[in-house]
Formats: sequence, C-alpha cells, structure tokens
Amino acid sequence: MNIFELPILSVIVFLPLAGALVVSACRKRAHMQSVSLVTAIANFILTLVPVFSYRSAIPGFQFEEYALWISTLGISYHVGIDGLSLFLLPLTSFLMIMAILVSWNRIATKENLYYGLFLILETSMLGVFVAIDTVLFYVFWEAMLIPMFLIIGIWGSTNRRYASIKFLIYTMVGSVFMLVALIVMAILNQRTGAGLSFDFTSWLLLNIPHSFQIWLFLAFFVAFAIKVPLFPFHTWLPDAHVEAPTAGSVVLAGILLKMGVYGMLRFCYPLFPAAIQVFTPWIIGLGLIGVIYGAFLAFAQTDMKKLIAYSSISHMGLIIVGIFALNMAGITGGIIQMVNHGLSTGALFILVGALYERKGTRDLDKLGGLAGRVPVLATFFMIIILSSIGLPGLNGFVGEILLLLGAFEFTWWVGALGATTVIMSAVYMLRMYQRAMFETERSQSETPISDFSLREKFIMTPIVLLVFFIGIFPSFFLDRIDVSAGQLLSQLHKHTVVAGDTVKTHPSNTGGDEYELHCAKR
Amino acid sequence: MTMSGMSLYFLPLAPALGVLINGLAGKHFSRQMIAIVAVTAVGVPLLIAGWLCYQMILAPATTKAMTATLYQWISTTAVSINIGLLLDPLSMVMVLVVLFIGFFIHIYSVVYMKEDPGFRRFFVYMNLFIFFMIILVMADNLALMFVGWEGVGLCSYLLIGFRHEKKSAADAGRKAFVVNRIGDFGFILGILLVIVTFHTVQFSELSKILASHHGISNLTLTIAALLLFTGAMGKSAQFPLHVWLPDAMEGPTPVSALIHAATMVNAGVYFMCRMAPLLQQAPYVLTFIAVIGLITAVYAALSALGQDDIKKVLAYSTISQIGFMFIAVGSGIFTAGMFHLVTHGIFKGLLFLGAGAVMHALHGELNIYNMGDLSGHLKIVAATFFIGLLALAGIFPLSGFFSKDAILWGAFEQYGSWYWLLAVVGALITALYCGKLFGVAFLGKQNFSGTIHKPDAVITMPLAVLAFCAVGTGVFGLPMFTPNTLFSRIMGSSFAPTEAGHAVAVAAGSHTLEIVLTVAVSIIVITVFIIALRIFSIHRDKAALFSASYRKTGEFLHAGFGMDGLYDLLWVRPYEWIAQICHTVIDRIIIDGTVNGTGKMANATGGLFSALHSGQLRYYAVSILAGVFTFVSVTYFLIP
Repeated sequence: MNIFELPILSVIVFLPLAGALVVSACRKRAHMQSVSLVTAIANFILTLVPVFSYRSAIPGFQFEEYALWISTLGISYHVGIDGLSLFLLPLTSFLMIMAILVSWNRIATKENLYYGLFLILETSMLGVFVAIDTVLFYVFWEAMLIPMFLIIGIWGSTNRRYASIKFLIYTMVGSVFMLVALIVMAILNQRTGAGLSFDFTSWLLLNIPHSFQIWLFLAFFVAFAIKVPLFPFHTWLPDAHVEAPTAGSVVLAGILLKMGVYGMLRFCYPLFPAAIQVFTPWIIGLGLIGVIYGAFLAFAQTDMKKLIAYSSISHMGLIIVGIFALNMAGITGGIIQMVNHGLSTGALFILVGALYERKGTRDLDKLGGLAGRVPVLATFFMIIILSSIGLPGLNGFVGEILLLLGAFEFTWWVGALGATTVIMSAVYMLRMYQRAMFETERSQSETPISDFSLREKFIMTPIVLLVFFIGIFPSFFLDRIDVSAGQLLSQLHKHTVVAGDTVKTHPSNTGGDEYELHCAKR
Repeated sequence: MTMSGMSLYFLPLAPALGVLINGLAGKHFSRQMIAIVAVTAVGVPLLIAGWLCYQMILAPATTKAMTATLYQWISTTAVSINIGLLLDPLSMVMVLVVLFIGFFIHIYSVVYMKEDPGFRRFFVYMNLFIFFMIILVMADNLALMFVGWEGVGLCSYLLIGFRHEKKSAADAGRKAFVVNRIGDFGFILGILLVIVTFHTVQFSELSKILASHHGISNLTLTIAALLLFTGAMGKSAQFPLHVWLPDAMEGPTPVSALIHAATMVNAGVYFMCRMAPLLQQAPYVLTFIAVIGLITAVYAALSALGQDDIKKVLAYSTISQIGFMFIAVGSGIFTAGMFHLVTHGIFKGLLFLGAGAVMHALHGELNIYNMGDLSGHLKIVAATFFIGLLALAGIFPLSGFFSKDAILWGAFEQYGSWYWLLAVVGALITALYCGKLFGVAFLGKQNFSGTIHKPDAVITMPLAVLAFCAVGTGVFGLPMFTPNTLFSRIMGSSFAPTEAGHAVAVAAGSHTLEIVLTVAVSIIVITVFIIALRIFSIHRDKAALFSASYRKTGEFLHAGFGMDGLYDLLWVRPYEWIAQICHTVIDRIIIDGTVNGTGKMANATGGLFSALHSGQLRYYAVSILAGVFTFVSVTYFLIP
C-alpha cells in the first residue's frame, strides 16, 4: 500500500511536532520563521504523496499503520485515511503554510511560542484526520484545543479572554460527552466477546441496540455539532474569530470547523445508522435554520470578521443538510465542500487581515473606495467572494450544486430552502464588498496605503489557482471521494435493512478486507 | 459534418485568451495594444463563426449540428456532467449575433473609452463577457449553460458598476446581481429537478427522452419548465424581475448596447427556445410565459413613454421588446421569437450606440429635453438613429416590421383576438415613444448650448454597419405570411413538433385575415409614429401643456409604476428588519444570553462547592477515583 515503505502518515503527523521542538530552541526570529515555514512546506509536500498514490477504486482505509499502545485497555496506535480524510490533510498543511506566512510581520511577542503552538496545532489536527483508534482520536481532538485557546488568548485583540474561555468551555463540554460515549462503546465491544477495544474498525462490527444508539449518537453528535458549529451551538464562533489573530482565524475557519463534519461522517454515520434515521429530520432542520439564520446575521454585521464568521455558519449549515440527506450527492458534496469552504473562508480571513493591517479597521462603516487604491488586493478579494457565493466555474459551485442536489433528492422543499443560500450569500457578500472596496472612502482618511506585497501575492496566488482548479476539474477530487462516499452510504443502508428495536445484521463486509485483516492480527 | 471539433473550441478560447493576455500582462501594454488584443479576440472567432455558418448552410439537414465534448466535469455516482459544446442552427444564430454585434461594439468602445482610466479593465471585462456568452450559447447541457449564465451575470455586475466610486453605479450592479440570483434560484432548482427526473442534463438526451413515451408526470414537467422560466425571467428582465435593467444604465453606454440590449438580456429567450422540447409538453407554462410576456411588453412600453433619460427610454424599450419575444415563445412560435431576438439585437444595439454618440457629443447629457435639433448637428448619428427607431417601431420595410408582425400573428392564432389586441396596443405605444424620442431629441428647437463634439469615423462606422443590417435583416423574414421564411429555413428543424402543426394550420386557413390585419396594424403604427413626431417636435408646447395637466400620471410612468418602491417595501425593508431582529434579539439576547447564563449559573454552583477545593491533593485523588469507579460501574450495569 505504501510506495515509500515508510509510515507516511506518522511522518506527516509528527513532522510539525518535531518542527515545534526545533522552533522552541531557536533564539532569532528569522530562524523561528524559517524553520516553521520549511516544516510547513515540507509537510505540505508530504501530504500530497497520499493524494497522488491513493487508489480511488479501493474502499476502506489506505496507508494504514497499526501498533499496540496500551494493550490491556485495547488502545492502539492505528491510523489510516480514506476518501473522506484524503483531501483534508493537504488542506490542513496548505492552510498552515498560509497561516505562517500571514503572521510574518504581525507577531512581535513570544514568537517561538507562537510558531511552536501553530506547529503543535498542525500535528493535532492532522492526527484527528488520520486516527482510527478512537482514544488516539480523542487525544488529538483535545490536544487541538490548547494551542488554539492559547493563540486566541495571548495574541488576540482586546476581548480575547472572554472569547478564548468561551471557545474552550464550549468545546470541552462537547468532548466530555464524547469521552463518555467512547468508554461505553469500548465496553460494548467487550460485551460482544471481542475484547476491550477502542479501535473504530472493530466497532464497525458491533450490533448496537437501538436505544443505545440514540444516546451514543447524541453524545457524539453534540461534540461534533459544537465544532461545526450547528445552530444553536454557534455563538462561540463569531467571538473567537473577532478576537483571534488572522492566522488563528484562518486555521479556525479553514480546518477546525471541518472536524465537526468529519467526525459526524467518520463516526456517527457508520456506527449509529439507526439513530441517524431517527434524527435526520431534526438535524436537517437545524442545518436549514443555520443556512438562513446565518445568512441574515451575516447581513446585519458591520465587522467584516463577524460577517465572515456568520457566513461560515450558513455555509456549514448547508453541508450538514447535505450529508444528512443520506444520499450520494449530499455526502460527496459535503466532503468536497469541506475543502472548498476551508479554502475560500481561509482566504477571506487572510484578505480581511490584510485590509486591517492597512486601514486599522474592519468596520464597514469606515472603509470604502479601496478598489481603486489597492487593485490587486481588490481583484483577489473579488475572486474569493465569487468562490464563496458559488459562482459556477469556481470551487464553491461544485460543492453547492451537489449538496443542493442531495437536499433536493431528500425532499424538494429542503432543497428549495437550502437553495436560498444562492440569493442570500450574494446579498451579504456583495454588500460587504461594495462597502469595503467600492464607493468612496467613508473615514475621509487619505493616508497612502500600499497594494499587495510580494509575500501577500505569494499567499493568495496558490489559493486562487486552487479555487479555479477545483472549479474547473472537480473530477480529480470527486473520483477519489466517490468510493468512500458510497461506502459510507452502504454502511448506513446495510444496517437499516433490518429496522427494528435491535439491529442484528452483521456488517461483515463493510469496509473491505482490511478490517478483518486487523481483527485477525489481534 | 467533416470539420473538426477544434474550430468549436476556438470560439470561446479566443476571448478567453484575450482576458488572460490583457488581464495578466496588460499593465505593460499601451492602450493601442490592449485594444488590438481585445478586438482581435472577438474578430477572429467572428470569422470562424462565419465560416462555420457557411459550412452549416451547405450541410444536409440531418447533419447540421456539430458537437464536441471536452472532458467530464463532474463525475460522481450521483450525477455526471460533461463540458461539451453544441453548435446547431439555433446556437449558430446566437453566436453570430453575439460576435457580430460584439465585434462592432468593441471597435466603437476603443474610441468611446479612450480617455477612461479603466481602459484595460473595461476590455478585460468585455472579453470575459464574450467568453461566457459563447459558453452560455454553445453549452450542450443545462449545467454548463448555467456556468455561462452566471458568468455573464458577473460581467454585467462588474460592468454596470464599472465606475464603482459612484454609489449609484455600485448599487445598480449589486441590484442586477441579486435580482438575477432570485431568478437563478429557480434555475438551479429547475436543474436539480431535471437531474432527479431525467438523470441527465444533456440537451440532446433530454430531447430524446421527451420525444419518447417517457411516462413522466405532467406536473413534474410543468414545474420543471416553470422553474427554468424563472431563471429566464431574471436574466431577460421580465416583469416583475425587470427592476434591475433600468438601473443597469449606470454602466458605460457600449455595455448597455452589448449586454443590456443585444445579447445577455436575450439569453432567457434563447434558453427557452433551447428548452422548446420541454415547453411543448408543458402547455400551462407556455400560457404563463405568454401572459408574462404580454404584461411586460405593455407595461414597459408605457414606462418608456414616461422617461426623459435617453438610455432609460431605450432600457424600458428593451424590456418591452423582450416581452414580445416571450409572447412568441409563449405562442409556441420559437422561430419568430429568435428572429425578433436577432433584429432587436441589431437595431437596439444601434440605438444604444447612437445614444452613446449623442452623449459623447453633448458632454454626457442624458436628458432628452436638454437636446433638440440634433439632426442638424449630427447628421449621420441622427440618420442611423432614425433608422433604428423605425425598425423598433416596426415600420415597413425595416427588419423590426417583419419580426414583430410574425409574433403578432402567431399570438392571434394561439390566443385569439383579445390577446392580440393587447399586444398591438404594446406595439402602438412603442411607435409612440419612438416618435417622441426622435421628435424631442433630434427635431424641434435646440435646447442646449455650448459646443458639440463631432463623432469620428470609428464611432460612425459601427452605426452605419448596424443601420444597414437593421434595414437588411428584414430579408430573412421573406417570403411573408408563410411559415417557410428564409430565417426558419436557416433554423431548420430546431423546433419541429409544434411548428410543423403550426404550418399545417396556416396552410389550411385564413391568409386573407392575416394580410388584412398586418396592413391595418401597419397603417396605424405609421400614423401614430408620424403624429408623435410632429407633436413632440413642432407642437412641443402643446405636449408640455398636456403632460403638465397629467403630472401625476407622468410621474407614475416615470417611476416604472413604482415597482422600486414596492420592492423596497416588500423585500428590502423586511429583509433588513429580520436581519436586525436575528442579530440583536435572537442571537445576542436569547441564545448567547442562555449560554452566558449557564456560565454564570455554573459559577454560582461552583461557589457552593468551593469548600471542597481544599487544595489537598489526596482529596482530589480520592474523588477522581471515586468518580471513575462510579461511572464505570454504572455503565457496566446499564449496558446489557
């Protein structure tokens, strides 16, 4: 499976950690920056290896690595990726390069802690996406919080304490439920005679009674829903974004929010199919509320960061609607849209950060008339906005049309309500663009501002190229996602064939031979 | 057909290259160089299109359509969509309109925009527009058409707001985009319904399925057609989604000529013609289209009457004329609709360019009451403008006469005399505002002072060419009173099913009635036109007296029946209001209040238990152990 004969995923996950250690030893700012940048770039190149050597026709996990960790508790070091997580790795490492580059001239205090934390954050985020053992997953999941908490709390703006603590508590509340559910699952696994195990692949073989599924599903779901964030668990997001430094916002919106959706697809979908069937209408309802409510809120904002934060709630709501429509179009669309949203929202925060550096404000009542003064920035901004509102030919449309198709196949009016995003996103995004870039300067300040520097062009150009690439050649991505999406769906249906109080079917074939291989190994 | 698909690709490729060259490298170019690149990017595909058209005419009827598939765009188990081009007689006509008019407007713009600091930006957007328009027209499936559809919408947004430091221009661009998106909301849902129902978006597949015994319910077909028509209403500015077009006149005049008169706004008509196989099986939708078209035609003609801004007159007139095209579509005579699209594209493009020349001459003056007697100063502009107006009014033997006559007669056959009568009223009002426009602006006494910029040859040449075409294209409407006109022969079997039936009906019956009606309408139209000309030039005082006594009506017409106010009341204000409620009440007070309230409650409860926090490690250790033990034992007993 592995062309390099080296544990590529482990290298990918732990390389940033090693980089962090080196950074902490550096004394000069230039050294820290170059070490972290080189680490990030090297890691990005490494994450491309699985993308290009991934065999899209094969279901199940690839590039798997397995080692015993705490054998008495059935905890192992088990990692692997499939079509669901495949593109989230390069997305993470890509945005991490951007995060380091946008911090270049901005961060002036405790730099080695700053860059170190970002690299630790990268390790934990990548770990979340590759972990198959759930304790491993949980460790990475929790480990992610601390660097983010510190990044907001130390380098944030005035109200950072409130925002960072809110972020921490919100997320911790969710993960406590998940921890309980993990333990219950392990015990359930033992009850079936398979031994105490936290390995996700062995959980796939469980027959979980209906009533248990409900509670376990909810415990997982709350943790993930807070992360998404799904209405009404969303209020931490705008606060966190407003206070976070630009790079923090980029990572938060670009990657952290994806973990909620990822978790739902990875765990809730295959493990609790019966519960999914019960809750689907309610979750879709919350997703739809998120789509429309987030769009209205975005329209009401004057702070650009808040506006983008609420637009994220709206967009993520649509992803939730799509993946809980329980059909191919919705799942595929959800997976690709995670990447798209990460790119475009990450880029939006970079652009707003660049504006803030120049004008010292993000207030739409004080900006204006910038298109003539910073034409390059304005052009990039326009392209990203178009990507965000789903202009066909750019990346956002591909995900959007698939998600809407999924919603429409579920029920026509769900599709229709979801499609309001077509109108509403244009309303708030173009309003923002006009107030910031068009008309005339509102604050009357004529201090000269410079257009994009070479560094900033270097940041935005690859993003824009990707935006076009995904929009024009989405098949490169969809081909690799398709089989895994189909697998997720088949796991769902296999269970629901026998609907009843207890689900007795044994999904022996789900996931292909690899799972059984592992069971046999043990 | 023997030609390779390569030539098809070149049609969109050339303008795309123009965009890339001028967009990426253009800041090092001179203006002349930019202009050369931009004009070539339209001129070369025009030549190729001409050659392809020649080939197509020679080809036998069965092999007129050329297709080329580039690659698979979206490929999933759920749906698969290709990037493929289709050039059949229908798209051929449209491609020629776009490139031909586009070419001359590009040349015109080189001079028109020569002083503008945004010269390069302008031509990048214009080439981008041509690119997307070609994609829209040549797409062989609904989804790719939507790519072009949104793309031209984007260019329209960018070009309306071209002078973006003006708030009115930026607002107008945004309004155009948002209103179009309202239509596109329907378009997207239509696409989704088509995918779910037919499992394909390819036009050829759709026609094949629709021609077979498909067993798809009438209701589904009707809803699909209706949803797609909503998209067409937005783009083609049909009542009540027309409100963006008058405001779109904020854009530079060549933009109004190209995008908001000759090509993009007609895309809805083209789209409906493309969907003819579907529409033919959804008769209720056809009726609906006919009604919307009629309302728009009459409403916008009346509104045009009340305008005093030369571009706004033309804008409302465009809305009204597209209404006539939809009357044709709704009456099932798609060929007539397309024919009017072609003639209208030419004469309306001409009129806008003429208006631009007038503005140029008068240093940006737009109000027709500040003009007067221009025919004495700008002879060529006046002459070509007059030809354009004659064509618009539908006066024999100009092209507008032939195309409009075909529509009126088709409407009569399909929906009877009352419907026909209303359409004729629309045509009469058209003649009225045409006469008024020429009378006020070009005749009578001079109402402006100062010097006049004489237009140079680069400005007048396109006018002359288009004027010639505005007269000449009428030929394609010959022989009259038969379904077998030259134009329909070019279109071939594009809309076979209904129109064949139509032809039989025509052959069977009332030729005399048709001729009588045509002659009668023609005479009335000419009379109205001449009277309007005289009143508004020689007897202008009387006209002023008349309009003073009906001031309220005049204002009502001027405001386009107050549609903007209505939108403001029913859509904009409630939208802002709901957003504010969501922001201040629901999010901040209810949801975040609950969250922070929970936090405070936890704090308070924590205070009660703070005694337990003795700071002694062993207590903590014991309680942690106890907690874990309790939890694990409880779960053990609970789990079956």
